[in-house]
Amino acid sequence: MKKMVGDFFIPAYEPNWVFEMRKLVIPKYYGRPSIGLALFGCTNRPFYHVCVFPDRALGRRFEGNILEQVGTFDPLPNQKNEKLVALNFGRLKYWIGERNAHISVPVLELLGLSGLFPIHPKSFIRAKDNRALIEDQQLKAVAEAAEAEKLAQEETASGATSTSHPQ
Amino acid sequence: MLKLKPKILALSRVPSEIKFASHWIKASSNATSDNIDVEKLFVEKDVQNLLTDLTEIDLEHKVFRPRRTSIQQRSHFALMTEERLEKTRERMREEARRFLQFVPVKEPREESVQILANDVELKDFDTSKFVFTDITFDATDQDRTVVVRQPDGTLRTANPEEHDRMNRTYYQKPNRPVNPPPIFSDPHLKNSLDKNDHEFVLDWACWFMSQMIQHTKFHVITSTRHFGPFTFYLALNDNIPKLLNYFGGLGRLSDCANLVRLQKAVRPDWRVTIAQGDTDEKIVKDFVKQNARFRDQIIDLLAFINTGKLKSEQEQKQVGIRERFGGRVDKRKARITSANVRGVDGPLGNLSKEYSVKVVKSEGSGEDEDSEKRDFGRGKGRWRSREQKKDDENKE
Repeated sequence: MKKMVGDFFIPAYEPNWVFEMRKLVIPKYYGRPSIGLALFGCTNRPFYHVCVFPDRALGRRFEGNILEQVGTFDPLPNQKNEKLVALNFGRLKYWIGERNAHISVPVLELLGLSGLFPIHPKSFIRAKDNRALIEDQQLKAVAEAAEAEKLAQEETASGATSTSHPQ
Repeated sequence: MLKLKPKILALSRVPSEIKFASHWIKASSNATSDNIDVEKLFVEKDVQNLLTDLTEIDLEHKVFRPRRTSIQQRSHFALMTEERLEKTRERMREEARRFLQFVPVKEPREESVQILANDVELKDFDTSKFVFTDITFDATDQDRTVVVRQPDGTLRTANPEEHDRMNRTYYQKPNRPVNPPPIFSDPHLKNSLDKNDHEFVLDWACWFMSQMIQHTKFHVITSTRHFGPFTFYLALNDNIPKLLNYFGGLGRLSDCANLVRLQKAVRPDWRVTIAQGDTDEKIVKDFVKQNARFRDQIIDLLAFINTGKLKSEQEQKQVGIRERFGGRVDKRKARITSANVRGVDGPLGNLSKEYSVKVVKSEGSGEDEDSEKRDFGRGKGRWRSREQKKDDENKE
């Protein structure tokens, strides 16, 4: 809206306009939050918390900046060969559905595996790579076994010739 | 950004609608047991009454015997009048009834799992399983969602064992360990059963019964909270003769009759008939008459009915108890009165020569008791003088 008073141009006041460089906001309710893994744990023992961080405009992620912890992920398999993931689905639905939070790829992968989201393409790629690796290893093992057998046969053959003609 | 899946699967555990043969009834027993609801039957009033009657309350040797606990307690001795002693006994009996509350009989949970998705493309995405637990605030231990993604790409609900373990991992409670205690693995289990620690094992797990019938070690669990469910289990499986024999050997005819009544209540289609006004003796005799095939198993009971003689097991039982408590039983059995409380027969035993026993509070203390106190009491001077002072004041 433009107002002309004489020759001067006066802009009308609108509340969304930011007049100053800095503005006090409550991080919890400001902007677009993001969900990601935060590394806790200690030396040689990784352990992740699934955390909600405030808008990127409020600075980089750090521990004091966490809005809410919505889960944990233990990347080391336990005695029964299980990786344990705990997710607070109720709160996740709030942050994703109502606040349109940005989700990092590792968390997207976990959510895909858990069945809440469609499986992330990266999981498929990883699976494919792993399968190729396993196949390679199997082929290599077979080849090695064949080679070893061949060697053994040759040895026995030479041994047999030597024993059949004692000197 | 990826879109939310339109439908969010409701993964709640669905209990099976139709119950087939109960897990508590063994296949070897009668085949007519398909439609028995064991959980319901166990909580029925008359069954509960019979079971409580069958569980004798042995205060001294069973319920309040010395046992291993985390709390240290000292035994407490007091002089009482007959009336007060009776009252205390009644109170302890009341408390014992609380201790002997039955362990519930429940069917095991269903083992089957529901396969939610099968992504073949996801095969070998990882070498280990992923277990996802819903830690939403509202979810309870029973309806919490736990799903498992297996390395071959299938997504399924957790089986009861995993579900339990996740509950225990994420919601810890005292006395609820995450992993089953090693007492259930074999060398330890066998050791503890050899040491007659059935109750200790049963306290940990309540599905453990067949060993006891084989070795007829009934005295180990009589008057514990496991005896009721155990008897119920026997009655359910038509396997009461050995227990009948045990009761018969002790001459407890009413318990024998109750056991037969229980069997009838649990299995209404049983052939033995019981009329309303039948006495205990008649019921037992009828049972013996109609079940001649059990004759080898109920020798003691037959002996008791025919000759009125108890099994000479009494001595054996005493020996067994003495082994357990290491000779302390005799002292516990001896009645402690004002006369022997300071002597060698009292609670201090041989130590009574070194230590003086002072009775803090006694009821109906006569003059002779006071004189006794003066004779025996050789405590420290200060206390001694104070006591004498009191006595002097009283006299004045």
